[in-house]
Amino acid sequence: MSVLSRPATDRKQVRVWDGATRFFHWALLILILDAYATRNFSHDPTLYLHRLNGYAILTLLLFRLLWGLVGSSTSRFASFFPMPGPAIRYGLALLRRRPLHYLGHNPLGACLIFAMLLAVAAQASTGLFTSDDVLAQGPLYDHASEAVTARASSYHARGFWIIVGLAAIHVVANLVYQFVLKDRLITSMVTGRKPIADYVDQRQAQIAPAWRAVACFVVAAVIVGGGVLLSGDSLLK
Amino acid sequence: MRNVMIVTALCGFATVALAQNVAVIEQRQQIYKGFGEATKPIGPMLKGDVPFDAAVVKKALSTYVEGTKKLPDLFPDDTKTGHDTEALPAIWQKKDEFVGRFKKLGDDAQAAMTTITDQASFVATMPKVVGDCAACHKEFRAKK
Repeated sequence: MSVLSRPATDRKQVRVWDGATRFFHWALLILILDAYATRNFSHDPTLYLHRLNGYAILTLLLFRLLWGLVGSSTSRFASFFPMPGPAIRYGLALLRRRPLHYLGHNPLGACLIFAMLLAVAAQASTGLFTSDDVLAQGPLYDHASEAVTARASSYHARGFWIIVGLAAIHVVANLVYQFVLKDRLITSMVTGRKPIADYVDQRQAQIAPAWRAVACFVVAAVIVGGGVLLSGDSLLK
Repeated sequence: MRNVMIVTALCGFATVALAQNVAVIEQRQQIYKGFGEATKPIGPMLKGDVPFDAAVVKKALSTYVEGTKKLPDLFPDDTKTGHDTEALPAIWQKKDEFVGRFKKLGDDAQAAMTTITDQASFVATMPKVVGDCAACHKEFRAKK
């Protein structure tokens, strides 16, 4: 099969995204929506659920950082680190509707993934230093200078819309791949599989063992939970 | 030369237009600062980090009641800008609604003074009162 042809709708499939990466993806989507809901539709002036939601997002992000180093081949940052040259070449090929087929992230998508991860990381970490000037405050608010908390609060009040903007591009791009280019990216983020094809990056993902994902989650949760407790804040209120 | 005169004249008008009632802005900022200081101990109390203290709660509530009596008069038209005010133009575009926010906070605080008698009634009632603060900030106060 030519690399320029569409992936076959072959019954034979290969692994692309491991369970941990798919869990990360869909859990992050739900938590980002919940972050908005717990901020805007809550009557709790201390925003307990919003803070808890933020800790969960930080845990997911930290997990993803570790998984990007020791996870399955398609999830490792080294396999999709953003590079301007390949991204531009891929983008031009895409405009001519002759994109190379990637099993994992394509070079253009990789840029967007990193941008989204950084935007969510910025949002979650500034939240730690943010206060609404009434009764809601992040666990590190009292531990930082006013210059830091003012900038963090300012960013935190606006950063959500950067995430929304990037996510909108992400959703539109995936819909185009799924339904116009017939490269079933959305399906693959659900099933973890893609049809066998002449992918230019990897033929199939080298899936890391599940215990390693669990270990990464535990490490991430301990760091985030421990950090919150060390700050003097509680996870229970 | 004529241009210089025009520019000078325009600057003069601009200065007049921007002359703001700084004293009044300062007055309302002091009241809000007082609200902030009175509210600070409420957070740990709501979370249960410190025990319920009726005197502290009463002080906060009476600070709101007193402040909200004065605040409606502290947003005249010549206090829209200057002195680092975080007041949004919406205050003057929706003056009735804005002033209504003070009445609501004042009424809620007044009612809470009799409702709140112990930890349980405090936890049940206080969030509604301080919720008035955040709700008004959201619409009428500039984000930092």
